[in-house]
Amino acid sequence: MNINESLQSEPLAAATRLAAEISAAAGRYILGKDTQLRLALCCLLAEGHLLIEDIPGIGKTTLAKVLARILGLEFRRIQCTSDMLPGDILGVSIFEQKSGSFTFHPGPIFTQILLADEINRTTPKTQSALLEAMEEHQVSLDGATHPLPRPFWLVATQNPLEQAGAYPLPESQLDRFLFRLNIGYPDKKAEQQLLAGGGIGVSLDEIEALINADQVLYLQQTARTVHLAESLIAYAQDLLAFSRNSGRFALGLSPRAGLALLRAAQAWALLQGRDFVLPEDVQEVLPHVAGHRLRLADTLSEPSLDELRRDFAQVAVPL
Amino acid sequence: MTSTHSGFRSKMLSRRRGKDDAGVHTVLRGGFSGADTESALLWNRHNPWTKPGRRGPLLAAVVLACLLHLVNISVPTLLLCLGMWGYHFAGFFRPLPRPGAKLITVAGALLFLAAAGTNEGLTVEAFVSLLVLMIALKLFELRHQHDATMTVILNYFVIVSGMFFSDSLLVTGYIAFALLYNTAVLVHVRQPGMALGRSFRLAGRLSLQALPFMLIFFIFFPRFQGGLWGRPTLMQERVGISDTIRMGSIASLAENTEVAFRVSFAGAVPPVGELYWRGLILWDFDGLSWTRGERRGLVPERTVRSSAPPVDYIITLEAHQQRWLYSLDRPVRMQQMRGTWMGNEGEILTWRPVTSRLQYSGTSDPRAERQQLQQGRLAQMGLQLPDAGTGNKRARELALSWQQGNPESRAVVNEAFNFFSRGGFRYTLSPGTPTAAGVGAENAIDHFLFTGKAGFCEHYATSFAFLMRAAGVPTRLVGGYLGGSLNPYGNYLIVRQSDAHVWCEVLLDGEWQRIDPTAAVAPERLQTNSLSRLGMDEGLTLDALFNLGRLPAWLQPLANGWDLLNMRWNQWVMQYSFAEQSRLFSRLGLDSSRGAAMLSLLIAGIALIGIVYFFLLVFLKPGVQERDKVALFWQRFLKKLDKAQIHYSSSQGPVQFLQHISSLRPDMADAAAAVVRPYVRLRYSKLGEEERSELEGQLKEAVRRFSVQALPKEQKKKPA
Repeated sequence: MNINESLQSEPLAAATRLAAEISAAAGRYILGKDTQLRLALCCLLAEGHLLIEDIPGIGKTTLAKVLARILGLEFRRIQCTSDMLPGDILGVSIFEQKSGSFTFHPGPIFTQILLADEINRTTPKTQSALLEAMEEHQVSLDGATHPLPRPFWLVATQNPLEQAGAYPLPESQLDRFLFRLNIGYPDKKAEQQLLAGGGIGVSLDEIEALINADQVLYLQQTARTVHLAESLIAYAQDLLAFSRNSGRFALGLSPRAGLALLRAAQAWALLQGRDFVLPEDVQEVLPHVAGHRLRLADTLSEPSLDELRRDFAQVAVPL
Repeated sequence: MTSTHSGFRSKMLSRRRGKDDAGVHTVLRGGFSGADTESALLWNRHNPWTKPGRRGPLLAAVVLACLLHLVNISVPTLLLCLGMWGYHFAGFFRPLPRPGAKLITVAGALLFLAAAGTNEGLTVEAFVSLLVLMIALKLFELRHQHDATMTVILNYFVIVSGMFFSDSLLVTGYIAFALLYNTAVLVHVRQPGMALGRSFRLAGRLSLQALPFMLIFFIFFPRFQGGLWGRPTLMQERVGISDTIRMGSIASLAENTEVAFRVSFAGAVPPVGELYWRGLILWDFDGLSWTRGERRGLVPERTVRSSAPPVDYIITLEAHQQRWLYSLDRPVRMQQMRGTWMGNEGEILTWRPVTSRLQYSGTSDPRAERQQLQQGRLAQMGLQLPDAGTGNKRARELALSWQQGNPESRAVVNEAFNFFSRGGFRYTLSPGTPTAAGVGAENAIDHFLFTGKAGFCEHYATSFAFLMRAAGVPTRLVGGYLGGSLNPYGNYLIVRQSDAHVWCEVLLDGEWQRIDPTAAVAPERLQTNSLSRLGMDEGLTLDALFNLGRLPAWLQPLANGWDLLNMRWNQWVMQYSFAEQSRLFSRLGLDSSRGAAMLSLLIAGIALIGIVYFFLLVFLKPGVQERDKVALFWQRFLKKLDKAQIHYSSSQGPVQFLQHISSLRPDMADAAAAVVRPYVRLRYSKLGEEERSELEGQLKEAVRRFSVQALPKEQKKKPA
């Protein structure tokens, strides 16, 4: 059955199949990073933005680019530097002598997937220019509001090691990213394959799109309808309360983090082919949602994924 | 979110910058052992147990638990304890340094020595002090949840040990409240997210649920006579009549309104003048004091009942640390208790000191005669006096003159009575001591009889006995109480220490007769109770607030009502002993000596409560029934798995749990999946009414079919 038809008739099965296909297709280009791929996809389906934190050369850009190609979305990339101005991202209004008026020249942000490389190297002013775009899907400039194309997905990367001349993202901005992922080195087998193959065999531009923007939007809508049982919401509340009251963390998770957690769990459940969320889905996405939003109380450092899993395992699943 | 976080960071920076400010810095640094200033401050900031909201209820629970003991422990331990509490309390207002592990260890050892050293060795008080101090110390170590839990659990011990010191209604009420609060704090510690009010409600509900079990155990749990391990010694001073009586020893009790015992009569209360509560008999006089002597009980006697109707009564005796019980004069029969017997002279003696409140019944005949059967040792015992040259010369001479003038013993007694009633004697609570008047103690009787002429009952009784013996009339001293005040609400008599009395028994015509020389001087002593004698009509004093016996007259009804409540409490709850239990069992038609019968009764009672609970749960709360049907099946499933040593961890989701089961017991995977599948749908997916009931049916069936099979090893043997 054509994927387009099946999406209309039985969205669930199609979504699952699609997710598997996308993962498989992307897996051909990004070796040994299946989990990260699925999480990135989950992030997209939950309409959240993705922050990838890792060292250079690990495949961050490739990941974003491959996904854009497979999903049939428009892709642009900006390299953030300290002398970058908001206008360089959003666009500028230029006075045209011919017409005698200002014309808006959209910046690189007017795309469907935007990769903001090394976001922590640019100034807070430029970082905050991204805020409205991330939250409201629009750009306000010179009194006019320009809607962004849909879907709009921001993938930002930052290098955790370089601290000199960097402007760490403030918590308010970190909170706007749904997930923070680490890609990590490929395992031995994948790396051998990669080195033997001399990088990606085909040019990224040759990757065939599996679906188009409309279908991505449809999947996003379907993800929103995945059922959240009452006891599951109670579980999410318990998790939030634990982060606030356990004393393990300097500050607890915000209500926005709670919303993000449930949205991500819905998307994850959809990717598993379910129309309802299980506590396991919440547990799966929780470390990625909470990792960049929490600080350990005793050292003020960021908790590792394992620490988060261990800590939140103290919270009982309501019967 | 960030503001407090970075605010703290900047505070830290400013602290670090201020290092040159030597004063602040040394203060901060001084108290820390091991940890440096910065990490200690971090501890203060990020340890949740430094926040007043977490620590406050815990400290309150500790104070509440220990409050009862503050009067029991020694002054040094009390000061140490208050000091540590004060430090914790001050910690709410400003961050204070906390002692390190080494300091705590050393302090713990020192506090142990303090507790043991200042409480006379290993007494109950020493153990309680130790507990109280260790809990105060434990509060310095709060880092994790389990530290707080430990503190709360120690609190339970402290609270319940309050029963060692008092079991009055008021104290019991306080203990119940302290237990409830402690439980609420335990809930609060374990569930930090829960508001304190909700923890209180939960604690209350838990306690209420435990109540029926408590009652069942209280009534049916086999009781041991005299306690299982016996009672450890208390350091409390003994109040009441002791086995040594000298001049002034009873007068010192005259203003003590503590209750000695309470008596309820089966019939009418005998007239006040007949309420002689007999305790112990004193034979030996060494010139200074009267003691029971060593040869007591060697003179056979016999009680001859009169035709008057006997008086039946029940006495509730407060612990007096002595080895005798009290009875109404001429006891005829006493309740049979192990370790208790009636001595030859009508004393009720016990094998061990009475260290806890005791209730017993008795029958007396106030007009019964006590006949002397043999005269054999009487000269040794009833006429014993110190050697003639040792003192009280004038008294001896007086007695001799009486003896020479009167061949009849009875006439000698009359002479003495005349001497007292006409000799210008005064009855007073505060007679001067002979030593104060420059007379040696060995001549105390001479001083009283011829110079002082003012005294309390023991002055008259001891002098009278001395005179009688010197005159050759066998006499002995009886210590006990006289009278008592009637509580009109409960129609029982309260006998207080201020009713303590000493009188004589004189052998006349082969029969020991009660002679009370005090009656010759102060006949009103026999007619009034001690409260009115003490002039309790003064205003309400602070003292009175703590001593119900001392309330002014207009508050007496209140005091009587309260005493009645306490009396009933003691009678019905505190005195529920082995004897009462056997009586109850025999009334229920059970032989209490058969342990099996009691055990089955116990089990039946618990089962009954369980059934009642079940019905309450299932039928009175239809909402719960609807919602929790699924949970019920799930619990059943978990219980079955428990048998296979597969345990559900509450942080697992159902699917994870299924994987867990499959990895442990692949043979059960399918059956478990059949349960988990409908359960997951029921719990987490959106269902129509029809679908729901169908799935519930599936779940029920799957759980019913699910059984923990034999181990896979045996399975393999079967041809599969």
